[in-house]
Amino acid sequence: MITPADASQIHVPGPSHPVQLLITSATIALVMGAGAIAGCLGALLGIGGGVFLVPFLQFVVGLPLNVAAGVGLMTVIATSSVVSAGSAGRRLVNLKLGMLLQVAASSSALTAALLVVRLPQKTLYLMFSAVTAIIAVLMLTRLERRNVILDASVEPGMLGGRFYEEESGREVVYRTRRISSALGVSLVAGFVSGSLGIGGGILQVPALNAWCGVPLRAAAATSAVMIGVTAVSSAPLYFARGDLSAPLAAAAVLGVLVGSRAGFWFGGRARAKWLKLLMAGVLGFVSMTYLVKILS
Amino acid sequence: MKTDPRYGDIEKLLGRLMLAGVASSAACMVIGLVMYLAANDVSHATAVVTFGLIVLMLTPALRVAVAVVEAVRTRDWFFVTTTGLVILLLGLTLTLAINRLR
Repeated sequence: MITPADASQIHVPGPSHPVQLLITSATIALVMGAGAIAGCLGALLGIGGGVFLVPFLQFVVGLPLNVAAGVGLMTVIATSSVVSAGSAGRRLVNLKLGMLLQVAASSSALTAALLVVRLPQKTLYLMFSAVTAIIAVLMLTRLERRNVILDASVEPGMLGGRFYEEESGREVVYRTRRISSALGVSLVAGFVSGSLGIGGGILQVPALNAWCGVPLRAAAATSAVMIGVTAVSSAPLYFARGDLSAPLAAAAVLGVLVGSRAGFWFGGRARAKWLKLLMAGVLGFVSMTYLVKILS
Repeated sequence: MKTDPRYGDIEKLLGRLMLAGVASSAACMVIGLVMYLAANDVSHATAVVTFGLIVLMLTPALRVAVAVVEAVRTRDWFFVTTTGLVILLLGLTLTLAINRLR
């Protein structure tokens, strides 16, 4: 039960849009719980926690999109840092490829953070809904494909990589193909991250896997590093604009930290096929959510 | 990819540093939220929580900074260029944000 004494009002600082939010202990608990679930799924899929959290914060908690996106960005950073700290020292992360794509992702995330207040929201939802639906279908058609060269003596090239795969118990080598497609997707992913706060990994992981020949695990680990850097390329602007609710962001981040531990634990054990199926389902759900939002 | 054994050590240290960053940020957030829910000191609570959020935003930046050092050390000029550009972009975001706050 919430009494008026429990409720405290905060004035989110910022000259351009002064947002007044009523934040109760119940709201904080709700956001923390949602963060835990989002963090678990996000870490499991390498897509950051924001993808469920931002729609939830919009529909259930009733936050404006820009505030929900600000909270989403902070949870994306938390997921990214935890997952990439866990994978540091293993060779799953392809940092050379990641940093090349990061130039594109950071540029568009920064642009998006500057433009988002001027863009029609329905346009962004429509674009997002379409892109996620396409990738969901792409994932479903490629369930059995393995983008790995099992011969460890193959030269991976400048942007390829090699790592030890737990599932097959051997060293896996891959080459990265179609760098320009990967750069294009990173531009889109950065823009989506900077405008909707959901983390660009949702686009990067399937694209790197399906188009560029990067094995799903390496794509997810590389993307986990990238989404954090991409979020940091726009989050300070949300903060400066006053679109970052500190208590809600903290509640969501704490939830995500707990949830992502569980997700990371499952991630090492789930088989790639199930990971792909689950990811396709996630993408389909997100696509529908935004389509419904456009129509209503 | 380089198979320099020292690279693995740097990576492990980086992993620990990033975890330490997230842990200290989480500690600030827990303390700040408890203060916030006690509700008699909202401005101090917000300051503590905000400090935690800033520490959190620094952890991915640390990842890139270490990558720059690693790129220079291995004299991989392609990697130096990409990581350098990413650092420049992060600096630009920060500069724009600070200008807006003023």
